[in-house]
Amino acid sequence: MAVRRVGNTAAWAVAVLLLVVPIVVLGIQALATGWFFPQVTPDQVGVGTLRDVVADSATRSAMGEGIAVSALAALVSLALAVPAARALALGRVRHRRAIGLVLMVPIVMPPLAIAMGLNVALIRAGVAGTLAAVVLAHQVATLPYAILVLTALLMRYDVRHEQQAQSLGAGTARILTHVFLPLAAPALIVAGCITFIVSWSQYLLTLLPGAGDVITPPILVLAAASGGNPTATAAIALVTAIPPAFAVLLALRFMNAPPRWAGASG
Amino acid sequence: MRPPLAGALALAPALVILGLLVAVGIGYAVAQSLGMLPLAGDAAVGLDAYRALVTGEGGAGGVWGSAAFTLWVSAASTLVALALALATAGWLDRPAGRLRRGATGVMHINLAIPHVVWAIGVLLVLSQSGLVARVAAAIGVISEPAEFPLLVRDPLGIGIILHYATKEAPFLALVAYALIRARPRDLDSTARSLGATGMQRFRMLTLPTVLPGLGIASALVIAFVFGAYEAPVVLGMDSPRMLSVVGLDMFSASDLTLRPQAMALGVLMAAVVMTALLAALAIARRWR
Repeated sequence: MAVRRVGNTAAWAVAVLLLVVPIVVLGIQALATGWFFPQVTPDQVGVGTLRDVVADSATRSAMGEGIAVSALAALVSLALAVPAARALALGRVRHRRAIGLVLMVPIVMPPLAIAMGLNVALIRAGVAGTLAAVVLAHQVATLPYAILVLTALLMRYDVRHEQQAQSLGAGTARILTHVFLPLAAPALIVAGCITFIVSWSQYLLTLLPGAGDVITPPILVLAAASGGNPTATAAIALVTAIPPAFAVLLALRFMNAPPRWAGASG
Repeated sequence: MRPPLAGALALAPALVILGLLVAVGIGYAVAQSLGMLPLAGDAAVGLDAYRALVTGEGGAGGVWGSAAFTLWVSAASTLVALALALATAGWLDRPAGRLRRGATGVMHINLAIPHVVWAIGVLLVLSQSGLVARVAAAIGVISEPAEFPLLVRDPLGIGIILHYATKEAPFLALVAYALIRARPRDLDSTARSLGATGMQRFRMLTLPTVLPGLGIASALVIAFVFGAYEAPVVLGMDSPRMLSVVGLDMFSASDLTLRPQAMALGVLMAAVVMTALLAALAIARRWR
């Protein structure tokens, strides 16, 4: 028993190391001024490069555009996913299997296959290179996830709250704003965070619809990676990881909290 | 009383937008791959781009090598990720402790890290002058970077495979965890009190719970890696390259005659993924 427990703990230490070490090394590299083979730890550390990267106008503009694109992409996805998820979770929709398959198609499709054609179409429409074009293109990746996550979360939603409001004379708009939104707020926040994260990491669906004019942090990281400055590259990569890290912590907070509709029915 | 905004029509806006985006994206790719809508000169409609692509004439070259490399990397990454996820599933299938809550939290954070960022981290750990090589040098196993085995930018794609294995294993493990949590709770302790060993509980409780869902999730992972771009750019070498890297190179080449071939490659990749998806669903249905 004791041996097995040690074995388990060791297995977990390895697993967690696998998940943590690359990010820790990235953090050290971002702070290292001169860290060469065979030094296991850097001679000198300092926030100089990190400060330069954060102060750089290219980084600031990319962070701004990235946050704008992903926040808007999440809002658009949520707006479209709420009716869809309500229908799938609360309504009596036929052909569920077929609808599930249709939602899988954009998820499994190689982004390149869609992004190249969208680039041509958006250029012809004269809107390539705008934030709106990128937000629209990101729906390929974000909307299916928003619908799937929200549907799963709404499966436990107790629709009797809405029926009660209805029997008291509330109309559709009032039910949605006064019953659904407050009760489903945690689910909407979780789905919104996950959608933001999916949008934030998009590369090809940003690069091609953005036609080189919309530069988000992942595009900066890949550009920096082909340069020769590991400290600057690590600093940009580290900064790029911060917004989605916050989003996932927010999502976890609301995911672990008991849903507001639980235990309040009847 | 029916709940409002939950009829079948409520699905329409989302499905129409998704359908349009996919149809327009693939549609324009098909059109340009067939020589319609040329960037310069007259339209010459035909299958020339596909012919040039598969024969390797006219600049693409080595697309079969890239296809084989892409399939190898997708399959290997998915298998390693699945093995790692299954190795943790047995542990997840036990009463919760603080350690596990911390571990699943770390997995969620790992999931949120963009692939480009993770790829840089993997490069810093595994390259010939990376952290592992430095530790090896410190304990005297190697004395210079060139003695360290080539784990990134290597011909077998080991760096890319390790990238996706470590990035997708937490995803698969969390899928397994969700399935375990959806199952009646006390099964594990009941089996334990009836004298089932750890291996028996894993085989007869954990595996049947997680395998169907993990099958679907693995299909998503393999399709995702098949179309991957960022990690192969950071962790791959110039030859062999993954298909998406080849495709974007042709798409953005100054030689505009390569554009139809890039589109043809995109169309073929989409066709491969769709065929595989439909085949997987047909097999899954037969099994049930």
